[in-house]
Amino acid sequence: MRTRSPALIAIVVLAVSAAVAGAQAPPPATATRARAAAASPSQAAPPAAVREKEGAEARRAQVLLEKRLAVQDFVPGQVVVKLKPEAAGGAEPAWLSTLSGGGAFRRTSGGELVISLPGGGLTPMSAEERVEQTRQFVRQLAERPEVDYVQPNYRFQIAAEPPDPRFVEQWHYFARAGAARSAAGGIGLPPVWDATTGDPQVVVAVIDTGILPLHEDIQGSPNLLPGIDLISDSGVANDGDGRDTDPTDTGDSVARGECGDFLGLPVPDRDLPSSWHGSHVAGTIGVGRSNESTGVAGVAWKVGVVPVRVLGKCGGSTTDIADAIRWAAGLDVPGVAPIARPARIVNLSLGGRGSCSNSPAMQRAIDDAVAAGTAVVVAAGNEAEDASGFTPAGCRGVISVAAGDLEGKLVLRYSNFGSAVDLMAPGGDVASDRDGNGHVDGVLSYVDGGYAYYNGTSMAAPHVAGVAALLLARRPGLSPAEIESELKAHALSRSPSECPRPCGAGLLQAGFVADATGPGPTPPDRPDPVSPVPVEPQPVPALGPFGALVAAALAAVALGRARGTGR
Amino acid sequence: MKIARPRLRARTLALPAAALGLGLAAVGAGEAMALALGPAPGAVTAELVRRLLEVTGASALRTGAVLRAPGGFAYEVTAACVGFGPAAVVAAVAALRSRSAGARLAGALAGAATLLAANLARLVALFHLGVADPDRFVIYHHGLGQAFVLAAMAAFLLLWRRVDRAPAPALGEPGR
Repeated sequence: MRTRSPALIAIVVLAVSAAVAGAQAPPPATATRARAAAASPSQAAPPAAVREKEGAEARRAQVLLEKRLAVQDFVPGQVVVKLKPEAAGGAEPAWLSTLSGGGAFRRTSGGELVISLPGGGLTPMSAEERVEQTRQFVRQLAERPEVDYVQPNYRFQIAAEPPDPRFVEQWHYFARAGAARSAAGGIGLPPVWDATTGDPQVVVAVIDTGILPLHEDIQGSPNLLPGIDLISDSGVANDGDGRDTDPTDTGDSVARGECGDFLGLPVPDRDLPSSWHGSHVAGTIGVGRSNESTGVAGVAWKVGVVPVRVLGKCGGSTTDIADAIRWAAGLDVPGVAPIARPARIVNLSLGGRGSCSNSPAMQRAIDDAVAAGTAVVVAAGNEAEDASGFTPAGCRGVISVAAGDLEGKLVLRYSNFGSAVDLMAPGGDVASDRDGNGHVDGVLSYVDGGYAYYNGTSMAAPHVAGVAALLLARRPGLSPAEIESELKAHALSRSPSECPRPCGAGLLQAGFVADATGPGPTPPDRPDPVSPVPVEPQPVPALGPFGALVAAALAAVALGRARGTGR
Repeated sequence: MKIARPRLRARTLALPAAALGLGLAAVGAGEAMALALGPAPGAVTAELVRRLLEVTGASALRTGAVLRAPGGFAYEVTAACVGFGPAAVVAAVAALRSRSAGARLAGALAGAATLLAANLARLVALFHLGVADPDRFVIYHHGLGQAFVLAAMAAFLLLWRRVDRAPAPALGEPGR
C-alpha cells in the first residue's frame, strides 16, 4: 500500500469540509428551500448567526406560504409546482404521483407542473373540502426539498366594473385644452394622429375574454390578427372545448352561485351578463376600423391586435394566463403552435387579490416576456386599495396603470394606487357626467351589438398599450424598459389634490409621440420573427392557366398512348 | 399510297388535339362544378386542411374558406383550389382508357380520390411554407404546389396503367 502525501490528505480534508459547509449554507429565501434546511436536524449545528438567519428565512418563508394560501380565489384541486432542476427530469417523479394520490399532471410553458388532485372518487368532496385539500397539498409539497416553489392555481378576474346604461363622446382621447374638443383628463391624441396613426407591423396582444370578430367595427378590420383560445377548462371557456385556435368571445355571463360559494355566500351574489371585456379593451387599443364612418376610434389606427382568450365564466387561471403571456411574446408553450409575429406589447386588463410574491409562476412568465422584448401593460385594479397587494399589478417589470377621470384626477371611487403604479390613464367614471353632455364619463368602446361606456383600470391600461404601439411605430427599437421610461417621462405630473393617493408618474400624454423619431436602439432579439406577413388571404388554385395546359397535355399523352396500344 | 400520307398526318394531329381539348374541358368542368356548388367545397376543404394542420402541430383559424395562422399569414381556398379540376382529368382519363366498365369506374373513383388527397397535402404543405417563409410563398404556390399536383396526376396515371394492364389472378393463385 502506497503512502499518501500530507498535501493530498489536506486536500481531501478541505474538500470534505467544503462539502459539509455547502450542505449547511443558508438556502435562498424561498418557502421550500428554507423548510428543507429546517427539516434536516441531524446535521451538525451551524453557527448562531447562521441559525438565526435560517430561522428568519424559515419564518419569512412560512409567512409567505400562509399568505399564498390565504388568498381564497384559486382553482380548487389544482396546484402549481416547480421542481428543482435536479429533481425535475423528464417525467413526473413517482413520489409526486404517490403524494398526490394519483393526480393528473400537465406541464406549463414555465416548466411548472399543474397537478389536478383527485376529487374524492365515489364520495365527492364538498367545495370546502376541495379548498382545504388543495391547501394541505401545497403545505405538503412546500416541505419537500425537491420543490423550488409551489402555489395554488389562482383565479383572475376582469378588472372592470359592470357595464353601465358613444369621436365626440370619446373625451378620453381629447387634448387637455386649446382645441375644439378638450377634456382635462384626455391624453391628447388628435395632434399625434396628424404625425402617425401607427404601424400594422407593431403587434399588441390583448390577453382577455377574447374578441367579437363580427362586430360592425371589427369585421373586415386589417388590424385584427388571428389569435388563440388558451382556456384549458371547457366549463370556463363556454365554447364546448378547451384550448383551440378560435379566440371568439362566447360570453362570460354567470348565474348567481355558478362560481361556487365563499364562506357560505354564493359567488357571484347575483346574475351577471357577459362583459365582452376583451373587445372593449381591444377596441380602445385599435382593433377596429378607425378613421371610418363606422363606430368609434381606437388609440392606434394601424396596429396588429392579437386576441388571446384566457378569461371566461368565473375568470381565468394563473397557468392559462402565464402561458398566454409567453405565447404572445413568441415563447414556447407546450402543445400550442407559436405565434407567427410576437407581440411587442401585451395588455393584461385583469387581476386578482394577493401580492405577486404569492404567484411566482406569474412573475416568471412576465420576466420571460420582458426578457424577450415584450412590454407588459397591466391594470392596477379596481379595489381602491394599494396595487402592490394585487397580481399582476404588483409584479416586477410591468407597466401598472391606474385610472383617471374626465378631469384628469385619480378615480378614488375604485382605482388602485400606490408605489406599484407607474402611470395613470383615462379609466373614466360612469357614476358621473361632469361635462354635462348627457352621457356618463366612461370610456366608450365595443360590446356585443354596439358600444358601451365602461369604467375601470381595465379601460386605462389599453390607452397606455395603444400609445406604446404608436411610439413603437415611430421608434421600433425601444426595449420594454425604454418604453416605460418614455411614457413616464412625458406623463403629466399630478398635484396631491389631483392624485390624493400615489398615481405613479402622472397622467399619460400622447403628444410626445408626434415628435419621436428615429428607430431607437437596436431592436431586442426576437424569437424567429416572420415579416412581412401577407395578411390578405390569397387564393391557392391547384392549377393555374399554365398548370391546366400541362395537365391537359398529360391527359392527351395518356389517352394517345392508350390509343396507340389499341385500348 | 401517296394520298394516304396527308390523311395519316391529319389523324396523327387530330387525336392529340382532341385529347388536349378533352383534358382542358375536364379541368374546366371540375372547376365549374366547384363554382356551381358555391362556397361549400372551399369551406369544407379549408376545414379538412385545418384539422390536418392540427395533426401536424400547426394551428390555424378558419373563417369560411380562409385559413389564418396566428400572427397573420393567410390563404383562401377558392373553387379553383379544392382540386376538382385535376381530379376530373385523371378520372376522365382512367374512365376512358380502362379495359372494362368495372375498371373504368374504379379508376375514375381512385383517381379522383387520389388527386383530392394530394391537393389536401399540397394545401397543408403550402400553409407551413407560407408561415415559415411568407416572402417566397408565391414561388412555393405557383411553382412547387402546381408541380406537385401535376406529378401526382402523372404518378396516378402511370400506376393505373400498370394496374389496369395486370391480369387478374386465377382462382387458387396468390394475388399479385
